[in-house]
Amino acid sequence: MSGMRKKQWIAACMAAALIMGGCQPGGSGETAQTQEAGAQQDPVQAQDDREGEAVSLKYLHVSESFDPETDYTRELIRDLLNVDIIPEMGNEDDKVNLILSSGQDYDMIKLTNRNLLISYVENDVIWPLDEYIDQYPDLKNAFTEDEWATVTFDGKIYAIPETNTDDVEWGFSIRQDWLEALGEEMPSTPDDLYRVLKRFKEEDPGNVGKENVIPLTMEGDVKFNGLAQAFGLGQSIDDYIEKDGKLVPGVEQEGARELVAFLNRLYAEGLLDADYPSNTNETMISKVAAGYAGACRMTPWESAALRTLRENNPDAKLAFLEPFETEDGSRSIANRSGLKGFLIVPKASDRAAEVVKYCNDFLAEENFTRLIVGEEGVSYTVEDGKYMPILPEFDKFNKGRWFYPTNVGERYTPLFGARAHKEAEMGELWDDINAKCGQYSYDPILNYAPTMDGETEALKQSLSEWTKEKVIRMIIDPAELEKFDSFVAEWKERGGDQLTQAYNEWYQNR
Amino acid sequence: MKKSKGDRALTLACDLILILVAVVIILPILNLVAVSVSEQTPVISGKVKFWPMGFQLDAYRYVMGSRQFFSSLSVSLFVTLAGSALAVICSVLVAYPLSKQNLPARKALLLAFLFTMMFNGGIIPSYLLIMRLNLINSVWSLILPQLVNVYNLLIVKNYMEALPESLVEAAKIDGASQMRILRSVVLPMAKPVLATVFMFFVVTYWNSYFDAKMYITERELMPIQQYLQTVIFEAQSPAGDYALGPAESVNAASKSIVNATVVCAMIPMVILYPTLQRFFAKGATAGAVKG
Repeated sequence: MSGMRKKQWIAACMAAALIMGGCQPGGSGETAQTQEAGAQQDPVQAQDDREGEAVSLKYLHVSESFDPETDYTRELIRDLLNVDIIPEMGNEDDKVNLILSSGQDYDMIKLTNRNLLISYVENDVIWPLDEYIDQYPDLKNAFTEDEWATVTFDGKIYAIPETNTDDVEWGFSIRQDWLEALGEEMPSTPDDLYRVLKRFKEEDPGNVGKENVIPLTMEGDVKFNGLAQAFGLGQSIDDYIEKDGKLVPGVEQEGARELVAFLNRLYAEGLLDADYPSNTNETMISKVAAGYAGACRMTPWESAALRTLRENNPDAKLAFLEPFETEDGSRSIANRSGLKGFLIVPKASDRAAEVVKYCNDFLAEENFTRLIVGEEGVSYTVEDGKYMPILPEFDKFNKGRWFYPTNVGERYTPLFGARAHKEAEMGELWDDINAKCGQYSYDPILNYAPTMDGETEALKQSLSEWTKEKVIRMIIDPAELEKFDSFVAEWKERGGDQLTQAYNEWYQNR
Repeated sequence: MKKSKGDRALTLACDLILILVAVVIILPILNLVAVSVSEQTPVISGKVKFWPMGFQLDAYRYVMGSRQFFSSLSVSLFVTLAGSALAVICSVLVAYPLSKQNLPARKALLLAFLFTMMFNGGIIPSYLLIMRLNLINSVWSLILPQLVNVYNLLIVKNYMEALPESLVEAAKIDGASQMRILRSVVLPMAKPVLATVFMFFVVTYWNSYFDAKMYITERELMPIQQYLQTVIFEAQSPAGDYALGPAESVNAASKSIVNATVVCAMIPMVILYPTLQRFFAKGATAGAVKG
């Protein structure tokens, strides 16, 4: 009896599951087809077809949690550029490999991994775009030769590059209210920093309790943009720098030892967060937000932390520092320029010309600003030369970036300001870091380096992880620091020399 | 029967150890839930431990607040329920004959199944197959590839082999057909193992992420795990160039959003486990054969 009931119950569940599947949109092949047929009868679409103008381009980009079909930027692109983007999501490396190797009909795919580009060129699955690009001088001139070189193989251009904004993303910030309480200026050299941190620790200017003060906190990493340069290095300890017409690795510079010794001293004296080796960005920033940290290495995106800090302590002032000075008084800090991503046209597409035209039209003066931030006075204003959003109108552009086929970092950076200013604190931090560091910022040379062959790239990756582990160990343990010379020797042996040679081959011949 | 002192000590020690293990498992979940409903300030200051500080549901509103959440949820529920049910049916239909010693070429068939356990075609052939079957961007691409799992198949087969053959013979004598024997004699006795593999399939289908990543590019077919991944991606990069959303409208720390996401992904499993558990204990065959 009860067995019978159970059976019925299970059968009912299965039936319900099948019915649900049938009900939900596109749940089976049949419903998907019905939907498609429905879309074709859509009057707006039909009108577009009648005009016979809008070029439809099937576009694959990253998965996101918004609906690109109904997004405002998509409509705007259709209105302004007469291009109908057919959006599809999910551009993971493996998937794109399969899509290209099985000849699926995408017209353009946005990617960030340059290793893939080489393999696509070698396997002849994407179109070279030179003949189309040559028709648009503006597009050609939008990027420098170095930038084009990043997507060129054997003299042919295989992708449209997208360059990053040239703002500064990582810098050191400090509690200005603590400095003021101590009557200190903003520290400008590493020695100043040491002195100030020591006073933070000893005098607890924020009254958070001496045992709670963390004079300097950082994520457990070996990137020290803004500080490493003061020791004659690049943005991280193993970054390459240009010296006498050659690229030389930072670890081999005398400054590397000095920097590690400097940080080791901070750590030994309790000025650098005891949790530094294990800190993630999140744990690091929680110490800043809680008001215990005097200085830290951070990005301007930590608006929530700044808000929290102010809620915890309304008098708190967090300000970015200018990059620290070298002994001869110069300052420099790396920006985030370089190749951000690129757009390829699979061989299965017959619309390479249209894709390139779309890129060109997107960058055209009359469209670019309009597509990114909308109309002045409606969705943005310009105050003191700074782009500011008008909310909520500007929210329409939230996801617009997903649709940009390409971008020119230099031109985009001021417009990006409008996005950064959507949150007061983020805008404040972004303005601050760029006001302090913008004038000293440089384009890191390796941002333009080509992707090396698979073996060298793998070597680079493993070497960088090894270096990170070693350097962190030297920072927290004086006994390890004494082995700095053998660290450098081992670094070279483990592939450092090979990497240096590979970079220089590119650097000399570019 | 009275327990000896030693027995009681052993029971106590076992209880203590199990309680400890349970605590170790529960604490992170408590922290997860507490952070997901706490206000922004204590979360970002890293102060929330096992009890919420302040209270907000904005994180959940952010995760569940879109139409996409529910459409993804229904895709996942469909794939999980229909997939698991079909998979159990397939397992039974294959396992039952394989459990019969007199099946012709039984060894060879078993080897053929085992072979696929150790060697498979890899991603590219699988993808090409799905593509040729016109299953790209179809929910069936999320169901069919996992329909037969050899490991689960062997569990069912072994269980069926262990069932008393005399019951089957009795049914045969009463004139039952093979299907009738399977339905009325074998399946009722196999409930515990069916519940077990059903659970295995449910967990596999519910958590399945890779198939959707490869075969699905249309949003309306995106299962919940893939959707939640995009939510986490955005929450963790508040200024990531793609993701700069209307931040002001979400009054919750990104960590709360991530945790709310995990809670959402966890709930169906938390509901399902206890529901199915009663099947595990029952269905013992002891006493089914007399004499």
